[in-house]
Amino acid sequence: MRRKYLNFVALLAVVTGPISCGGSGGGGAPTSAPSAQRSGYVLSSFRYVFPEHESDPCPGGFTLGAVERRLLGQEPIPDDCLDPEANADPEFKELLGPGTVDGVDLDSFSSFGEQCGENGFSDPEGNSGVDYQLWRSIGCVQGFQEGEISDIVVGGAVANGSMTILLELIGFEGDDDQDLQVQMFASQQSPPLGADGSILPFGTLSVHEDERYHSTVGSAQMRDGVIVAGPMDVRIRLNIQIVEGDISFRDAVVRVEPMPDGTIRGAIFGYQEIAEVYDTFGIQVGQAGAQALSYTCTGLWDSLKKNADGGFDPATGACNSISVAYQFEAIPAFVAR
Amino acid sequence: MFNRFAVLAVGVVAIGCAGDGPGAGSGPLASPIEAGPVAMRRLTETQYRASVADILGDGLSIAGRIEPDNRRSGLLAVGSSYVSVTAAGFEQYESIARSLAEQALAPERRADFVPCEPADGGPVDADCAAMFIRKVGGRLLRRPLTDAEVESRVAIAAEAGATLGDFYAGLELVLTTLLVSPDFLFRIEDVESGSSDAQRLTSRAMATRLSYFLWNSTPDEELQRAAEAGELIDDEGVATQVDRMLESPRIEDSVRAFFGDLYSFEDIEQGLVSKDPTLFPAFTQDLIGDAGEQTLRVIVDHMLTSDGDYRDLFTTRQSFMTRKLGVVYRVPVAATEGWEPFEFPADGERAGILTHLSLLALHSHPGRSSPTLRGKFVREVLLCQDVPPPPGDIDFASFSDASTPNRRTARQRLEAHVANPACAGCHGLMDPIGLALEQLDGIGALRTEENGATIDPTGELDGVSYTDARGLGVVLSRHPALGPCFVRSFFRYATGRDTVEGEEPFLVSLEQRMSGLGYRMRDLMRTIALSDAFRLASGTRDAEVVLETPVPMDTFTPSPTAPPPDGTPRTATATRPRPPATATPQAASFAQIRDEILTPKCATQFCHSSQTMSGGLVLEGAGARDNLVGVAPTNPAAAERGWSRVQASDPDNSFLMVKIIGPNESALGSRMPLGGSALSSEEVALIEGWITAGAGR
Repeated sequence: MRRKYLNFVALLAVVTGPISCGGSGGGGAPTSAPSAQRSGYVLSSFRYVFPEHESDPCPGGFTLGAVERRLLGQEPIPDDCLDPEANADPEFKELLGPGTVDGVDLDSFSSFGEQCGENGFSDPEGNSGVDYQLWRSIGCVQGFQEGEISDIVVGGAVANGSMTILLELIGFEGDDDQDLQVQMFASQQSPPLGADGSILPFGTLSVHEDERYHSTVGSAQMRDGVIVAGPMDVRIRLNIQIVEGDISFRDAVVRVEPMPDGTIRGAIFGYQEIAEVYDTFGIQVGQAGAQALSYTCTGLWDSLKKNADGGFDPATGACNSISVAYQFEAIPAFVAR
Repeated sequence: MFNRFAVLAVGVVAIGCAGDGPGAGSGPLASPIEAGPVAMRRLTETQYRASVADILGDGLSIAGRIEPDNRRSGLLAVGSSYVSVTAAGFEQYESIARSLAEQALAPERRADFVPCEPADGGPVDADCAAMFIRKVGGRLLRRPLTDAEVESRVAIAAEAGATLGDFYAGLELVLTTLLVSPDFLFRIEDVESGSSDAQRLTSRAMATRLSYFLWNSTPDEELQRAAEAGELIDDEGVATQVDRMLESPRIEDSVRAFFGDLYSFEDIEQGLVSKDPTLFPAFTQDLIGDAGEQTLRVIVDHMLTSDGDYRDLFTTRQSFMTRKLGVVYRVPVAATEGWEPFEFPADGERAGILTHLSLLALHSHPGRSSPTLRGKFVREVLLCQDVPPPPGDIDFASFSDASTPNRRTARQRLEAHVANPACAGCHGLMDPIGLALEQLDGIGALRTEENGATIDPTGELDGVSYTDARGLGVVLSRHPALGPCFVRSFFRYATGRDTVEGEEPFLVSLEQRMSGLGYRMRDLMRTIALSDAFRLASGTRDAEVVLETPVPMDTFTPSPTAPPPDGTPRTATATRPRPPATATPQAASFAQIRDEILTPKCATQFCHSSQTMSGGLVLEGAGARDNLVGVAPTNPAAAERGWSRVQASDPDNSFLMVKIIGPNESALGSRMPLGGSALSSEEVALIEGWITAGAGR
């Protein structure tokens, strides 16, 4: 296992040289290949982690959106996305029961104050306490399932410049048991695309000009070929069709697994404020988006509040954030500052 | 003299920079014994666009397909004197001209061109129209218009203006007629009157020749003034203008035009370079566009900005980069848009323009790299050596088959391919060059393996070995044919024609001078522009094409090489070039021809010997005559014409004559002896005499 990572690093060092770059722009000194201290990547896919279940986690079926209710001849549920507390959706379905998530117990990383509630997810090794409460809220909504609208739209967004995400491994040498660092960035640029529509490796992408979209640097260690970094705060910028906003991870854990072909795959776990989640899936997508993904804004908001498990606010006596988990794949890129 | 450098001969020549000794650059230039012909050269598309922009202003849209340029002897510049205008092409020129006239005379622009306003704002004003016609027409036709020409166009403007009720509509029609005038579309050269064989170009012709040579566009007002003042007849007047023009940044246009022409970059501009998107997803038209521009930027930076030695283009690590290119070069590019300077690493795999994506992608197949095409480019374009086309019956499937374990790399497949002696000769010239570039794939991206096998980039060029692409660049930069080939190519570009035999002493002295000066661009441009060879012409030559469409404009001015003004088509007078006039052919025996000419010059190691039998033809031994007389040629184009290799008593239908004189179309292959000096006129005459006398034994 260790051997193949060394080969991968050799490839980066010899073929690609440095993966991040500085430079002064067009009129400056010649840009020549710097040293290979930073290995850069651009995400080529970004999607929810989809848990596995031994029994049906949605025994009552999926949540019905306004369109489905109309088609089924059911009474519409009053829904005002700008005022989700004005109504209630008693038929909004949440994901129930245990499940397996290739995630982490954020409590061991988090300094995010007193947490709320308990998770019923376990990791593949059977360890309990894996945090992923967002999926409790959206796991029984058709539009958030694997291969459905949300998955497709977000998958396209990382390729078309709507949500370009960069990642750097700092001091990565390919050795197990080594200490290194991880940092993530949003970018305002589109990754280079090939004639077949795929993201091309070795493009140069600049980090977002707003430093709020540069994550904190996460300390990391590599064990058994897997790098785990955190906690770190990560903010991703998205501008997808009618949705313009952020995905902000508080106390995030980033897991990265380098592949022999030079790509990486990984996941990011952390807490996202429920107000931010709702801003995207309630306020901005509005009624049209809720209908397309098959939920009601009022049901979603209520569920987010109920499942929030981080960021305890003594003033309200409730948590204002919810644990989230995303998986990603990334290919080599030059990260320019 | 495209074949001056004998391919085989250079193999035993020590690689070095001949003529680099002290004072080598100050030697006198020889005058040509024989000057080249005057020409009637159609503006290339680039020249057309530049001329329009210079005269009518930037920003005008030229929408339409301009008559395609024609490559001849490796250059569009040479081909421009062999092309005419087809009927469909004229329609395009006319359509573009109408559009340009409409744009140029639009209300917001017309003040730039029309030096007056019509009296009373009416539709007809002969005086104002005449002012416009003299001003703009003089620039477009590169000469003052005669009174008759002005009057005829004033009449057109008046009639059109009155009919359409708009003065400027009348001028639009006149401007359209000027833009389709043969005197605009063609550069028609004249010589001073006199009886000498070598006559000096007129002052006006010199202005045009200088301008398109040094700026690749129409003469500016100062050059036109000098031309009309007759200042371009004497040395001092020419030197004054040449030095002024060389000081201008516009010489970059000429350098770009020359190298773009030499390297066939029009294929890039026209979107003709394509790759299999499955195999090369990174290849896009934007990418190859940037790649071509990268190479031209490096050339301009090295040859003009840095006043560098041409030979160093093949070793320089200095370059420029865009983010699109950075993806394939796998280097970071800080500039978010546009270009930034870049230096390839000293320990990297690339240096010199041979390792640029542009040339690598151009000389590859859509699905794979091609050591043969890359080697052919180096031999033919960079070293001015001829490589013949492959025989028509080659089975390329064996080369493409990479499934056999010992044929995974191009080197392995080519080794199997050239086991055939008929292939070995030419591939031996090309493949070792191209194999050095095999670590750069069909679009120029770096790779170390092909089909799982390690690529071996070692090779040799004419006896000098190298270990990789960078080494090839170093060896090439020291090759004795590189600099002289550049000089000859640039001279042919400057004059727009092939060189003639009588120019050989001049060319040799030019090579020597430029060798001593380090093959620097401005030196070469100035030396050529001031040379007798550039300023003299011998007269007209026979046309080779049928001009099917009568020139439609009544304002056409006859010239020495122009078609008759009555529109009568000028028919071809020769289908293949003829040797210079010689003494009456004398009959000779075949044995004499074989022993004195064919065997020593053609039956060489890689060619028509009994071992290699290139093209299935053996030109030594007792059977040599039977291989020629009455035998159909393997060349399909020759066979289609019904020629024999030798048709007894009929040299015009004997392919051998075409081959030794030099075919005038690529389908007929290369001039023989391949890579060697052409047969002398006496030798050609001897063979022609033998054929005419019945091609006996």
